[in-house]
Amino acid sequence: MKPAVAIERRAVTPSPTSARPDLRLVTVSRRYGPVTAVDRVSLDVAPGEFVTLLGPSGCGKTTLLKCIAGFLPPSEGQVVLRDEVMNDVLPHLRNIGIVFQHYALFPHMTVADNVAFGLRMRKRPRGAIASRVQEMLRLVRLPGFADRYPHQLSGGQQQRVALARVLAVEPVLLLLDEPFGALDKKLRVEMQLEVKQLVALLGMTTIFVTHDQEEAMRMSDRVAIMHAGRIVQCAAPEVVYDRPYDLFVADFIGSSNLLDGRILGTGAARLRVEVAGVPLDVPSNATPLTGEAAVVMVRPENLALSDTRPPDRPAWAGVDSLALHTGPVMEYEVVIGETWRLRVSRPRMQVESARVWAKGDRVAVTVVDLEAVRVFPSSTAGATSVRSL
Amino acid sequence: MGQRVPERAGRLGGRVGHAVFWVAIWTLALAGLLYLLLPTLIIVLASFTAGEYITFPPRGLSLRWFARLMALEEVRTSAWRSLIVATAATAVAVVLGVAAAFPLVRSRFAGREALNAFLMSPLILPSLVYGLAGLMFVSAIGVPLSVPVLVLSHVAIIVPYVIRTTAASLALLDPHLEEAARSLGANAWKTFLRVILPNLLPGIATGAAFAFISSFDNLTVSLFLAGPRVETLPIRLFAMINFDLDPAAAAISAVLVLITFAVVLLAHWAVGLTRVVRL
Repeated sequence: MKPAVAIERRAVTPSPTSARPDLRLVTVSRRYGPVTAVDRVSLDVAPGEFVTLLGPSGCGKTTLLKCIAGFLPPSEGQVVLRDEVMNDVLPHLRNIGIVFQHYALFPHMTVADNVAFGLRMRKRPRGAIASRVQEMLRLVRLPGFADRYPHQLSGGQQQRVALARVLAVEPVLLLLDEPFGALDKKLRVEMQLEVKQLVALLGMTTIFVTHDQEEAMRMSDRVAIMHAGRIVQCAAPEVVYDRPYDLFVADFIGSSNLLDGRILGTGAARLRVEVAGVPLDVPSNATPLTGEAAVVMVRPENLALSDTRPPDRPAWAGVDSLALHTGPVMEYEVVIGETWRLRVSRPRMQVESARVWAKGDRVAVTVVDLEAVRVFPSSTAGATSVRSL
Repeated sequence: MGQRVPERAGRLGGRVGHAVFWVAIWTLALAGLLYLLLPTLIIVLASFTAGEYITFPPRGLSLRWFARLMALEEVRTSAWRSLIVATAATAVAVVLGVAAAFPLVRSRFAGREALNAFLMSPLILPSLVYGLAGLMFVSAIGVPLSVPVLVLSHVAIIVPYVIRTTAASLALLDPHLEEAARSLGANAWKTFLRVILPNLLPGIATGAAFAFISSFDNLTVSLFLAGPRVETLPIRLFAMINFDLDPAAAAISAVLVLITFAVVLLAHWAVGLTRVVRL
C-alpha cells in the first residue's frame, strides 16, 4: 500500500479504470487576447465516468466545455475523443450531446420533433426514428407528451425532453451545462437523482459543469475544481472534501474554519501547529510548508463543544456567540479571546452531542479528529479569503 | 376616528388622479389616431363621388371613377409595374437583410456599431438626396434607367426595415438553439433553415411588409430613377393631381390604401400564424 502522502501530492487522480478514455484533454488552453480563460488543462475521462467541472463563475469551466463541444477552438493542446483528435472537427461531426441550462428546445417543434431532430440529421429511416422517439420519451417518463410544444411543459419536463433529445443519438460524450440552474430547489434535487440514475443506466460518459458544490459532490464520480482557468484538484468527492489540495479548494468545498496558525515543529509526516494559543499535533499536508506561518483548516463538524476543558486533549475556551437551528444540525459560533471565531456544527440527534448550547454560554471547543485537520502554507496562490482570523 | 378623515380624502384624491390619468391617456391616443386616419378616410370617401371633381363631402355615391381607373391603360400598367417592382425589391431586400442581420447581432467585430448605423443610413438620409445620388451614380457608370435599376434603388432604401426587424427577432433568439442544433448533427445550413429561420419568420414578415409598402408608395426615389418610360403608380398619381383634380386620383389613393392595409393584415396574419405555432 502506498503511503497516504504520496497519493495526496497528486492534485489530479487518474480515472479509475485503465481502459482507453472516452475523452482526453491534453494541456488545453484557450486565450482571449491577453486573457487566458483555460490554462493548460489535462484530464482523462473514462468510459461511463461522471466528471464534474466545478468552479466559481469566470473560472473557465464554460469555455472548456465549449472547447470540448467544438464551439471554440482551443488556442493550444488537444481535445481527444476516443483516440481521435477533435481540434479541427466541426461540432456537428463530433457526436457530443449537450444539455443547456435553459434546455434550448426548439420552440417551433413538438416534443417528438425535438427528440427526432438529431436522428433526422443522421438520415435514419423514418420508422426507426419514430420508434426511437417513443423509446426515449418512455425512458424519460414523458410517453404521452409527443405532440406538445416546449412552452406547454414545466421546467422539469423540458429538462427531460432535452435529455431525451440528446440521448436519442447515442452520443460518445454527454455535456451538461448547469442544467439544473433554472429549477427550484426541490425539483432540482429530484432531477439530479433522475439524471444521475439515467446516465448510470445508459453508462453514458458525462461531463457536468456547475458552480454549485453540493450538486457536484452529490452527482460525480470525480470532481475537477477549477480556478483561474486551471484544474486545481480532480478527485472523488470525499477526497476533495477530506483532503483539499490547497486553500482555494478548502475554502470552496463545504464550509471550513481557516485559521492562522504558527508551526512549532515538524516530524515524520507530522506537524505541531499552534492555533489561538493551543498546540495541535496534526498530519503534514501535501504542499511543503515554508517558514512559521500556516493556515489550518478545520471543518465545523470536526469541532465539538463541552462545558469544561477535557484534561487529556487540546481545547479552546470561549463564549458561544451564535446558536442557529438548521433542522438536523446546530450551528454555533464560538468567540475565543479577542479575534478568533470558530464555527462549530453538531448534529442534534447524536447521543453525545444531544446537549444544545445557547448564545452566551461558556464552552470548551475540541477537535474531534486531529487526522482530518489540514495545514496549508499561508501564501498559497488561489486562496480567496482567510476567514475566522 | 377623526384622524381617518384626511386619510380618506387623500385616498379619494388618489382615485381621482388615477382616473384623470387614464382619461388623459385615452383622449390623447384617440385624438392621435383620428389625426392620423382622418385625411386618409376623407380621400377614400371622396373617391366614391358621382361628381366631376374631387370634393368632400362627395356629391352622390358611385363607383364610376374606379371604373374609369380600370379603363385607363397607363394606370393599369403603372399599377402592375409598381407591384412587380415592390415584390422584386422586397424579395431581394429580404435575402440581403436577413443575411446582414446575422453578423450585426451574433458577431463581435470592430466597427459593428458603425456598420449598423451605416446600414440604417437610407432611413436617415433624405430620400430626395438618395434619389439624386442614385441617378448620378447610375449615369456615371453608364447603366441606362430600367426596371432592374429601379428595383435595386428601392432595395437600398427598404433593406433597413428588414435588417431592423430581423435583427430584433434574432437578438431575442436563444443563441444556445444554434449550438444545440450543431451538437445534434446539423451543419450550418441545416441549423439555419430548420432551426433559426422558422423562429425569425415573424420578424422577417414584419420587415418585409414595411419594405413592400415603402417601395410600393415610394415617389421621391422613383422620380429620379424610374426614367420617362418606367412609370410607377405613385408617379402616375402625382401626375394626375398635377394636371387637375381628377377623382380618378382619389380612386387610385383608395386603391393604394386598400393594398397597404392588405399587406399589413397579411403580415399580421403570418406573424400571428407563427405565434400560434409557437404558443
